[in-house]
Parts: sequence; C-alpha cells; structure tokens
Amino acid sequence: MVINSTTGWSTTNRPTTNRRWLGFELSVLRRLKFNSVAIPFCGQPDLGWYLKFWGKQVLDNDICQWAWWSSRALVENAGERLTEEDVSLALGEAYVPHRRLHNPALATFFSEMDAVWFDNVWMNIQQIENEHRRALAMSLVFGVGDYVFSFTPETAELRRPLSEVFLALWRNQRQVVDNGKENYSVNRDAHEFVRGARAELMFACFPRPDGLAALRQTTAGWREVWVRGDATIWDQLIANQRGRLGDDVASKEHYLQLVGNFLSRCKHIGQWAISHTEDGFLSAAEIGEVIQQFRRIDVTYNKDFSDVIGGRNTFLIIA
Amino acid sequence: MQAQQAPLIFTETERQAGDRLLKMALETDRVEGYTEPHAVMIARLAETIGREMGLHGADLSALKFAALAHDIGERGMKRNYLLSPNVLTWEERLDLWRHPILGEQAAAELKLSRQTQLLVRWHHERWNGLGYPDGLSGTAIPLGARILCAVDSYCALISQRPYRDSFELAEAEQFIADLAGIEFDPQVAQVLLAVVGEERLRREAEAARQQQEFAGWNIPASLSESATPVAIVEMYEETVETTMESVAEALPAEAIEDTQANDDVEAAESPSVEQATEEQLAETPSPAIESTEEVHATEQDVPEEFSPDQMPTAEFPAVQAPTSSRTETTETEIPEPESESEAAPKVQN
Repeated sequence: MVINSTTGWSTTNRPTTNRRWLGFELSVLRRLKFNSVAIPFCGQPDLGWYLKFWGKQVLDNDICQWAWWSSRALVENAGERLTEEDVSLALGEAYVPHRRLHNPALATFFSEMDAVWFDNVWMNIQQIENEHRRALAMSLVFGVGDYVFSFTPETAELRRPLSEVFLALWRNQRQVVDNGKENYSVNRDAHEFVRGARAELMFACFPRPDGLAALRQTTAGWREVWVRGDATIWDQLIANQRGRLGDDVASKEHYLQLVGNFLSRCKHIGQWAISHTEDGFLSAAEIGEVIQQFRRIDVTYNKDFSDVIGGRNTFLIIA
Repeated sequence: MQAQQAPLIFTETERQAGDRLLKMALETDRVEGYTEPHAVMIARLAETIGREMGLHGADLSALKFAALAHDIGERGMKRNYLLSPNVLTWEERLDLWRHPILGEQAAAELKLSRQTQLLVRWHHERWNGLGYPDGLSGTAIPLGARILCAVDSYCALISQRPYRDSFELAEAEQFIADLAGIEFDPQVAQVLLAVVGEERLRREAEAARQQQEFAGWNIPASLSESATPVAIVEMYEETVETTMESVAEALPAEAIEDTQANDDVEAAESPSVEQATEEQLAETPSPAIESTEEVHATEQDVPEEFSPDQMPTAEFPAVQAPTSSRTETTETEIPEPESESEAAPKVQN
C-alpha cells in the first residue's frame, strides 16, 4: 500500500488482503461430511468462524501474525468477550503523543496523529491479560486501520475519531461461539502445520504466485507491522518462504512445483478441498493435474463471478 | 425524497422485465413486512446515486433491476421471523444470510442479466468485509452492490419495521454517515447523503415556510391533522370566495361602493383581492388585521350551511380589504423567509 507521507492518505485503491468467495465455499463444504477441518492458509478467518457455527472442529493456521490473532479472536476463542474495562484500557490516552513512537514504522503508513493512536493503543492492548480478549481488541484495531485507509481527501469530512470507530466496531463485533470443540489457531509455516494437523478435511486456498511480497502491499502490510511492532518483519517473512508456497515465483512451472511439494505433506489428511480462483495465470485444470498426482479428484465445483469487474471464475476441487 | 418520489422510469428495452419485477417487488415488500413500497424506493434512489457516480447504460439498468429484485430470495424463504417484532437471534440471522444466494438463483430463473444476479448476491456485502454471503470488502465489491447496500440500509431505516419505528430522516443520515468507511463505501455514502440531505433540507424549509404561513390561522381541528397544507389552502380559497359574496350581500350599498373605491385606489399599487388572497396564503397572514368591523360582519353573515369547522374565523384573510394601511402592516409584520440553509439543520457528517 502506498501512503502519502505528508497527508497520510492512501494513494491506491484499498486492496483486499485475501480475495475469498465465502458463500460459494460454504455452500460446497456444507455438502461434505467431516467433523474437523485444517485450514493452513486461513487469512481472514471468516470460514473458520462459520464452520464453528456448524459444530466443526477448526484448526486454523497462517504465517502472518495478524491473521493468527484474528483467528484466535474468532476461532480459538470459546466465548471470551471484550469487556468495557478492556475497552477503556485499550483506548486510554490514545491520542496523547509520547516523545517518540514505540513503533516508528507506523509513521510510514499513517498520518502523525493516527500513528500516535495506533502506537498507544498497541501498548495499551498488551496490558489485557486474557489472550483471547487481547486478540479481540487487536482484531478491532485491524478494522480501525482499514477504516483509515477507506478515506480520501474528498471524503475526509465523514471521518470520525478513531476511538469512536473502535467503539462502533466493538458494539457490532461478531458473536463468538463455543461449539464445544477444541478449536485452535497456529502461527507457523503451512508445511509444518499440516504435518502435525489431524483433521478429516483440509481446506486450502493457496497463496498467490506473487506471494508474501505482494501481500505486503495490501492491508496485511500495516497490520503485520502493527501487530509485531517491527517494520523489518516482512523482509524476514519473505526470506523464510524461499522455496515454499508463499514465495514470489515467476513461472507456472515453479508455482506448480511448490504446490506439489506442499500437497505431498498433506497425504495423511483424508479429504482435500482446494479453492482456486482463475486470474489469467493458472487454470483450475492445471491445479487439478497436480492434485491428481497424489489422489483422485472426486468432483469440482465452479462458480463464475467474472461477469463483473473484480469478479473471477472460481473452483473448489474436492479430492 | 425527491429520488424516492420521482417516478421509476423504464426505457423501452427495460420495460418488459421492469414491469414484471415491479410486481414481484411489491409482493416481496409484503413478505418482509414493509408498509411502503420499499424496493421501488430503493430503485429510484439507487438510480439517482448510480447516475451521480457515473453509471449508465446496461450498468444502470442492472442496478435498477437488482434494486427491485434485491430481496427476492426472502420471498422464497417465507420465514416467520421476518415479521417478528423481536431482534433476530444469531441462528435466525445465519439463516437469513442465505437470502442473497437464493436471490441470485431466483434472478437467474427470471433470466435477468448475470450482472443483475451478482448485484442481488452482493447487496449485503459490507465495505469492511463483514457482510455476507462472500465476505468481499472494499472495492472488490462492485460499485452497484456498494450503492445497493447503502441505499437499502437508508431506505430500511426510514421505513416502519415490525421490530422498530422508522427513523427520522436526519437520524437515518447520521446513521449512514457514522458507518461510512465501516459498512459503507465513503464515496457512496457521501453522494447518498448529498442527495437525500438536499431533499430533506428542501422539505424542511418548505414545511417551515408553511408552518409560518399558517401560524396566525385558527385551522379547524378536522383539517389540521389529516389534511395536507395544499388541501387546506384550497379549502380556504373556496371559503374565501363564498364569504366575499356573503359580505357583499350583507353590506349596505354605500359600503360596497367605498370598498370598491378603495379597491380601485389600491389597484394600481396593491394586488386585487384575489391576488392578495393567493399571495397572502402563500406567505404569512398578519394577525394585526384581525379586529376589524368587516370581520364581525363576516361572522354574522356566514350562511347557515357553513359548518362550524368550516366557519371562517377572525384570522380569516378573505376580509382583508386590501387597503394601503393593511398592506403596509402586513408587509412590515411578515418576517423575511429564512434561507434554506438557515431554516433547516445541516446534515451532520
């Protein structure tokens, strides 16, 4: 995401962190019989949240900590709620500037005052002892950050103080349910995660071929920097993914090789549901060929959203 | 709202599908418990917003059709909780969240364009990604769906619902403004607020002007609550003519001549009786001219067929013989109408 350092306004359209077609995915998963699901690249954990409602055990994983904290808030959390005391603690003296920012990298994403708010709130949230309530507070701050990037100078008059936005999000936050299952969220490389995951189904939406380097340019960019309190983390993450899914690759052959490497570690999981959205680089048939190296494809579901700008032809391959 | 009151016009190519959708939309509104034509209201407003934001041709047609068909999925679900006065439980909400997908399927059966089908599917997607069914966020949601989302919410707020009263227009605007950047695209919210805000200000200024106009009048109770200002004006105008005839019959010949002489004198400088009546009805009548002999004469000579409710009262402007002194009094006492921006509160963004 490109931010004008003087004005603090995003100079690009607000990108999405992970394009998903949740309704389509859920309508397919509803037809499958499974009690537990492992999701190695969970991103925004909406799918896990829904599956919890259906009584499934959900094992979420993402290499990015922002996604991990979001998943802890909505998936791993078995009913903890953010209390008024927590909110007061999180927003305490949020606009009071200190001598310097604890996380100076925030100034590259936000205007001066906004950076102070995000910096102070991060430090306040660390004082919330319960990890799931802390996770809830963090997921609300992600929403506040997205809010900031929604505005342009033309729409600036509609912008509200960030603490008010935090409160508005808190009042309308999603219901957290306890489905009686031991759901958990992990922050590991996906290959390590699936090796230890014991689940009846794996749902995977593979990282795009441009990998973490491209993800860094989306709203995930500031979220990760804010969560970790460190701007250099992206360089480390990108370097660690060399030769694995999430790496930035230049060819179809290389990408399919990485997909194959990943799937080879998932053989112990009984059923796979692989979501693929065609974007001109790779067809569903090509992904299907790689999958068939490991097991037979039972059925492929397709939903074509490509009649509108931004829509895509989407497939869910069950194997 | 101007956009809501303007007729929903279909082009020649839109007409066949449009008329069919219109009927279905009214049926859907009934299923959802709307007491007003909600879908039509949305279609009108969405068309206005869409045009303001540069949509045209097939894109604008798709938006209009999607607005009419947006809740067509609920029609098929026939859930009792839609008419429940209670807030929905989470289980009911999750069930209801299927309706955009069912709506997309119903739109496909109706052979509406794929774009229309997708707009129906995504009309509950929220800017922050917490909508349904696909959890799209930001500009990944097509503009038409972002417009539908904001307009649907606004129109629902100003409508009476089984579980709550309707919001005041200004409250609904504040609601939209507060959620810009959270649930609604700020650009869409801005255009929506400009369109409905402008219309609300115009209406409030008109209402204030009419209130001022009728302030000195003793409007009969039978009229004041049920009749519209226009109807009241028309009724008073009829009464004015009848009363003037009665006055003329009751007065001695000299008095009539005097009055006519006065009228002639005033004719060059001030409006005729009829003109004065119309113009004064349009502005504020002057309480300063209440106690005149003509008024008493009028009361005494009111024909029996006038019911008490219709009886002209002391404030009745018909007896304001347009003498120069009265005209001056009227002019000096009529406050200058406030400008629109002063008369009505501004939209609080």
